[in-house]
Amino acid sequence: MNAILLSALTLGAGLVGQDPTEDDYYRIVPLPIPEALVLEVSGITLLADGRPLVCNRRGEVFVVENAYDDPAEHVLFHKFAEGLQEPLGLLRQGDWIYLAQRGELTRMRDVDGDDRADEFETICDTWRVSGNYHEYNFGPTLGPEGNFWITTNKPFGGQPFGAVPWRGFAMRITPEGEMIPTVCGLRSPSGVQASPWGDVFYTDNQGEWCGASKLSWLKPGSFQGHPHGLASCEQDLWPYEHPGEIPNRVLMPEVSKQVESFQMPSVWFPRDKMGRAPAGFVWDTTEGAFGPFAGQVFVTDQYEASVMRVSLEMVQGHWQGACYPFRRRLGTGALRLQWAPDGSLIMGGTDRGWPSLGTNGRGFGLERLVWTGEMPFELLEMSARPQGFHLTFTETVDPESALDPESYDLSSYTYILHSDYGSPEVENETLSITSCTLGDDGRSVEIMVEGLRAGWLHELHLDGVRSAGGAPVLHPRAYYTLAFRPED
Amino acid sequence: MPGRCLGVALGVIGSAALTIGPALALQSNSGLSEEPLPRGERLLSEFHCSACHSIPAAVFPRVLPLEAPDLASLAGRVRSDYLRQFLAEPAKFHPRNRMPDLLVALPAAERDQAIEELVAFLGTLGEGSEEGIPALVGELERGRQLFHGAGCVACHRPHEDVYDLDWTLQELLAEDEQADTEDEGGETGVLQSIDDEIFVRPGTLPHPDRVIESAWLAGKYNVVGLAAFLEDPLLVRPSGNMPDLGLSGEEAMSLAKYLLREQIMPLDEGQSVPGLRYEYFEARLDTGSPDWPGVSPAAAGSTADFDISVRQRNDNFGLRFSGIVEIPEAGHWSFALTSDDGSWLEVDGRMVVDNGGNHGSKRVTGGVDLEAGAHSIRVSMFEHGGGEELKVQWQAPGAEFDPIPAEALSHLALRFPGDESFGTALPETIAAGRERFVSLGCVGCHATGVTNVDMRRGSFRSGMPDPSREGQARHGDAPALADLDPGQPSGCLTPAADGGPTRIVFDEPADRAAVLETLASLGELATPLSSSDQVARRMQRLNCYACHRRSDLGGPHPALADFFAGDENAELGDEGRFPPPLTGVGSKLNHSWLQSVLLEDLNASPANFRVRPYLETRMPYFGASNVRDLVDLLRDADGAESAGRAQPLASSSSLIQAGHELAGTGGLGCVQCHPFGTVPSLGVTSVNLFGMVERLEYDWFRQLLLDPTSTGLDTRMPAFWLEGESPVDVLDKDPARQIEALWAFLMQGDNMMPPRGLNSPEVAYELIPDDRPLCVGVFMKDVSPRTLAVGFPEWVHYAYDMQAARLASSWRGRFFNTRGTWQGRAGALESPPSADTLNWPEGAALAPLVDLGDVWPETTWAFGGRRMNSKGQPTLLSSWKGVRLEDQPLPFAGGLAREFHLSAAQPVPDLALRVFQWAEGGEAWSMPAPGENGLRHFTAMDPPLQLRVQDSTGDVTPTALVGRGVELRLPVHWQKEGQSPRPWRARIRVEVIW
Repeated sequence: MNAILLSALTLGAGLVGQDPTEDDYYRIVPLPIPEALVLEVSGITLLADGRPLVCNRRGEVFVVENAYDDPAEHVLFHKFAEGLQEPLGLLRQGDWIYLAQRGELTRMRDVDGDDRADEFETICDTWRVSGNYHEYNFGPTLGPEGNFWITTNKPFGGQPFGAVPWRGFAMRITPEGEMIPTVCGLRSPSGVQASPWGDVFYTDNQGEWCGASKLSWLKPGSFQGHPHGLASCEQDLWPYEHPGEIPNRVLMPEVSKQVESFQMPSVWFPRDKMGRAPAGFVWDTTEGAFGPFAGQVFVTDQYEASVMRVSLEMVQGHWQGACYPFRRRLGTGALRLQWAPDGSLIMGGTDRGWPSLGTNGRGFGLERLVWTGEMPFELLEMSARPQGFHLTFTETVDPESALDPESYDLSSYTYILHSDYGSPEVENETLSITSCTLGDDGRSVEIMVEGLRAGWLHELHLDGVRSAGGAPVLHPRAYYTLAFRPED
Repeated sequence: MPGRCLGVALGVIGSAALTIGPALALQSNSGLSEEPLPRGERLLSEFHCSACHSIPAAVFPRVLPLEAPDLASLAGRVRSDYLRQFLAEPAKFHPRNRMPDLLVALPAAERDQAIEELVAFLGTLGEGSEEGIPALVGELERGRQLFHGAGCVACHRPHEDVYDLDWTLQELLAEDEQADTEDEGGETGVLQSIDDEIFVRPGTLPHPDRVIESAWLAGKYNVVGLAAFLEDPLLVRPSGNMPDLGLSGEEAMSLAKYLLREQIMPLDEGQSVPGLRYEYFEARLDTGSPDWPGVSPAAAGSTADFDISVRQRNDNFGLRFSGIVEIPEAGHWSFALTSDDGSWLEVDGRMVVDNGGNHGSKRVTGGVDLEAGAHSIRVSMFEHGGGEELKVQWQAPGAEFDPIPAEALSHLALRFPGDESFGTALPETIAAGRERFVSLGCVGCHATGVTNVDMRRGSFRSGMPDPSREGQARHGDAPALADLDPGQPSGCLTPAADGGPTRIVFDEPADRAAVLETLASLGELATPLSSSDQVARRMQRLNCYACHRRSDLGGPHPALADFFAGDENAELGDEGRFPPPLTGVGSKLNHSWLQSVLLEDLNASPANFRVRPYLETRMPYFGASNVRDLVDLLRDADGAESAGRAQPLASSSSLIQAGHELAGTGGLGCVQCHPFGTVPSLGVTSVNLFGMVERLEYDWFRQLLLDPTSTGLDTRMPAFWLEGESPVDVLDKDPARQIEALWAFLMQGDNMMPPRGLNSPEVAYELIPDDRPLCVGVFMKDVSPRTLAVGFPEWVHYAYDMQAARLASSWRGRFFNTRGTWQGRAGALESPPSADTLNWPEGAALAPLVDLGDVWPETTWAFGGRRMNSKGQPTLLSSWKGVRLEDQPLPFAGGLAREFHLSAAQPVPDLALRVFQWAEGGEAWSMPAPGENGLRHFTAMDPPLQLRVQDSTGDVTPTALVGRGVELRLPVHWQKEGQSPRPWRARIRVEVIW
């Protein structure tokens, strides 16, 4: 028996060695950055001719030449602008490049065509800067009505110049420069992005009053959980109802009952299972050029140096969905994403000041993720049903494994809204899968579940599922934030 | 029973090898140079003859007395037995004794009585310490290294062979023990004599070889008193012949303990004290056993129990606790160790608990049968990384595990004895001693701190000769020095009758002859000496030559050269271990630095203020009064004031910039060897660029750069300008101009811009505008957290407050170091790095004013962004009520010119420009008539600056307001230009040079 066991182990080990890896499907193409250049990438956009324009935390902006070479051997950087105060996003509209500095929303352009910005215009500086290092501003992204959306980080530590209002907000700024505070209760909102259908979303980082990192909908007038900015909501400039008193030490599903404007997140990213510091995100608009995930969202995580994947669906008027691991071991703390003209994904970032698992050791990096054309066997989408979940895979499944409830593990838990740093996973419960049904397409499975709970995150493991070809799921995990449960 | 450490330490005390000085061949070498100070003169001064014998005023400077020790704290320092022996036969008990035996004429019985009385009196001067003090091996090591490294051995015979200093005392002893067993009593092998055939560089002077054998020291001093003496020797020896090495209290104590190591008392059980002895190691220690050979403790001391909080860092350390554990009852005792990382427990030298290995918190137990009573215990632990913990428990037979109570722990301590040797004398004996002290003339040389004794010194001491008393007798019958008959020596110089005692015992017969010869021609000593000769004699008197060479004389004795050590990482060779030559030093160092070096105790400065931090030898402080005149003597001797010395050019921005370029890589590369403030150099570590010019004479600096060998400095400084041309194409490759430029750059002091090529966090963030202006957004102190700093290649820069839309300040020199904004999470409040800063008026530059004399109103201009021209120069945009302002500050003639361009759809009446504002007390400024092109010229003090104002209309009628300060204001004149939507324009140019 020992001999048999031994040979089984040996065989198993052999199989493990041949298991597909992320590299087989998505290659990382680093763009070499000259030794003298400290490119702590904090924003990326494309010029009209397709060349990337990147800004860094030092307030410099560079045009990248030959960025799409593969391998990237002739990449050149030249300075487009400098002297900006910690810009953390770039957006091009026509000739103009929009960006949020610490103290203002700015636009700049190159008038004489020498690839250097000649004009810098202050669009809005209605808010003030306290001098606290953590008062970062993110964005802008263009909202459906033509306004520029930015998010403002809350301060940490001492404030040498005194406290200022409008920290921890999402704001709209009209093209004429009017500032409209729009969403309150943000903590460390390091990504803000308009969806293809117009609704604007943001990412937030776990901490006090933010039990877990999240992707959340910036519904105008909503409150996202952090009370830091509440005093500002008493000003006339706040066009909505004051969120009211915020309860401490309450389960997340309970908060909605007590605070009318509280916005349940669309997706929670459980700490370390997914990441620690979500930042920039983009919707997959490549229509297949980047693989099978068209319409879904790719989100960076700065600590993990990773890109995560998110699917969203509208349930009872609320955008919610699931997150999935996608690509790890990027070169640096991943911050910003931008689609290249060829459908590859440009990632730029830095881990200056906050450590990351980035692999390049430089503290910053710029690279492209390129789909190899091979189809990964992945859980494409986990979608909520009244009594369970509908699972769609990227390829035809092996019915025997996919229909076996033992191939899955499902549990649920939620978080606490409180003033402590982060929240443990609480009210954890293992759920049993009562039945599995194969869809007509051969690559979807509907699982029926006992004990679904609205307001709870549902963690699904699919270690037993195999494709028709016998491959395991590349990332056999998904986390569905069931803020609301679909009605029958 | 005592553990290994104690045994070793004990052994150190007994090791004969370590108590004998090495047989240095100090004096036997031929080729040594003649001393500049004639022997007779030297001895007259050393014996302080002028204390009793009056001396012609003109001669006095040649035989300045070497003051005898101040006895005010004698009893706290010197042991009574020694004093008795010394008074009885001074020359026998004190090497190189210079005290005449004043008791020599007394009958034997009275002599003993006199000694008792004198000792009784002297015993009242200061207090001995009753309690002994502990001796730690680490302290002995520190003192040992100081004695041999800090410079003591330049004058005193070393106690150990230089090669042994690479080993700890413990290691030496262990080797000794081994050698004893293996070599069967062969040569000790520890100390080797230095070869007699050693090469002696011409000009080398004989080593003073002041032998202080450890046995003699141990008989003379007590530890506390010696430490106090070493910490401030000038208190006791005011003439500076034992100078102040700037030892800290701890260093002085360590040195005293090392020197008196023979006093350490043998251990016995009566000396056990509560608590445990610990040794603390700073290293990544072996995880497999508690013996860490070759690692010496970084610290040691005692602690109440197994307390790891005595560590000085949290990773890569080790602790070893040792002592005695009192076992209350016989039986099987168990011990438990819980530790992170590994630990071991030994009882009576047997391993009882082995919790070794690199691991997290882990508990291991072990047991041993023990008799009741004292047993030695040793617990060792080490920590590599992560958390650290040590818990030690015991378990009595049949009981539970408990922490070992502190009451059960003790240890033996090596100790120095206290000193109560003077005891208490009868008042009448003390009084008699005091009287003898005066009547014998001791008071002539020694101060005592006893008022009514010291008051009587005047009648014995000559001090500075008093011409009115010239020729008069001192000390009762002591004749004037000039009246002594060298042909018939008497008094102190009376020859010994049949080997009997004499007042003065000369070290060698030649000494006596030299004194007599000098006395015979005393008048010749009145001839004034040249500055050079005076310098040379003083340098011998203070033994400066033991460390410094000057004009081919002196310098470290070759037999001692290896004791002069330096930081090997500096990689400077001999230059990095020998104190610098002093040839020409009087024209090298400027007056104020020469004064600082000689008259200030620079050892008290933090280490980074030391000019040569890599030298282990310390420059001592000789006491200001002993060297004050050396400043001018050196300058005179070396021609510092002579005509024709080069003077530096007036500094200018372009000169400073050229100097900056020369200092960096790509230029002459000064930063290759010279550190820049706290930023290390790229290669070897020579003298810091900071502070250099504050010490040096320009002419010497120029000589050094033109031809380093011409300065007499044994330096590795390369010659750059071979064949009269510079390798660097700056300032037409002209050496003279390049040297001027370097000097101008170095004169910038704290404002010096880091030269190119340095790599360290400090300079990695330095912004240096090269070809184009640089812009950076920062939080700026006293301005706003929304500030745009703009730096120009012309080295004139400004800070613009975007929040208030105003120019806040401008400065010259270094632009900016962005470390506070760009490193880590950053967020520092920055300030301009230059002291050469001009602050512009707070508030808006333009405001509506009906009357130019009205109070300047608060006006909020909105920042509108900036425009960059093709040269990268920004124009700053702002607006107020339909008026658009374009403000372009640019470098101009070393200052700043601002172009204000205003435009509006309609002319705005009553708008005024505030050109500048002076603080209250502004004064002395002129308001001349308009000059060419409507230019107006203003000058002002406080801040001193020059202003020129130009209006496009040519109509400049500024108003000066004198109130709370002075303001210069100007009405805005609108002119319609063209047909654009904003046709009304106004242009004003303001130039400011501060």
